[in-house]
Amino acid sequence: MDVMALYSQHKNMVYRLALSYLKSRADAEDVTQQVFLRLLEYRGKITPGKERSWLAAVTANLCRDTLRSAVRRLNQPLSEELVFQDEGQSEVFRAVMELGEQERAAVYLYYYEGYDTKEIARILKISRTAVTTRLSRARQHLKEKLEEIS
Amino acid sequence: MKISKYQQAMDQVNLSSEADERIQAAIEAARQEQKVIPLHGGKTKKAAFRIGRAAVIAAVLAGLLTVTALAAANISRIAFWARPTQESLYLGGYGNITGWLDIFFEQTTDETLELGVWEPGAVPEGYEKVGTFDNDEIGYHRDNWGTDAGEIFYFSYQLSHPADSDLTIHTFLEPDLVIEDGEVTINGSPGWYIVNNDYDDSDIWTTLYWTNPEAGIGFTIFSCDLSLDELITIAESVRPQ
Repeated sequence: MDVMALYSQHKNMVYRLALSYLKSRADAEDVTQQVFLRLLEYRGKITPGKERSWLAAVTANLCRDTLRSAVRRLNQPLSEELVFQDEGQSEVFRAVMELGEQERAAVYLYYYEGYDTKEIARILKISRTAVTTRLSRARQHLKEKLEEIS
Repeated sequence: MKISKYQQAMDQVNLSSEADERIQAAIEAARQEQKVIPLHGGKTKKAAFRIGRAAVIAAVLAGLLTVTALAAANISRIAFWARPTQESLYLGGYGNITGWLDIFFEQTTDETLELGVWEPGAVPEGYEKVGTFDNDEIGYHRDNWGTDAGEIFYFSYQLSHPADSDLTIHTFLEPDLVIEDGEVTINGSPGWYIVNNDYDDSDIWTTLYWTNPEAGIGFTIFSCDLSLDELITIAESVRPQ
């Protein structure tokens, strides 16, 4: 298994998912590093073609561990503002980042990475019903937030 | 329209070049040394914890079944299996002193049967047997299956019951922990699945209970690393050896 090749291919997916969970660039970078170091340690076999979802699942696990860390404050705003090409992108991104971390992760995996609810359930270790519930709640919350902004 | 804005925004969220270089250097250094780097909340620790917890649960379960079996000492190795009822599913839990959720399987046959050896034929890649537990007196066996990454699932099977009582599976779950549950059918036989939070909210567990009425065996498989669909696939591949 060529870890460096997998890193090059999937680093931004891992980073984006971690950022969706943690809302901190520094924490997301740390988790990204941990994910690929864990991949290096892994002695098992990852089904070819499934590396991305394996990495996503490990990322979600590590993010949950980080969130449970006693020293970490929860629900903090994104520690550094990100700059986007236009205000519309910025508004929507900020609105997503103001969702709960469980909703943010589901939104990222579904709407950006294109995973179906079954795969998201596996990555996040929740039931499919829970995935659809989180997406539904996220859509509702986003609708309210974006209506508020406009 | 808004979703595309989110996608466009996320396209612009990338690792900084400084972080990228730092992480690449860390991976390269680790690869050179090939050392195991302990991580916060690492899987190996969690896997050990899970085995310990499951062993405690299994031991208590075995103890409870032992008490039940000894209460009707002249009748051994008799199994009765049928459909778990919704009513019995919750009445047992709420009615018991423990407050736990219990699953009742009603009686069907009264033939004397043997536990035998049962194995799943379809196991997810990377999993191998990492532990076993037996209680021959009451007819109970459990295999622990795990991966190098610390993922794990537990597969157990049991005979049970004196002729005049139902099989009660004590889930050790308080109903508040249950996220979702429902009926399933495994190879045409009735079963029940439960998705629940752990007591300390550390994991989500999925447990599948099902029966083989002809053999008189009740099965349990549970994991916090595998989905219900994956557990069903494993369950449907279980065969006597």
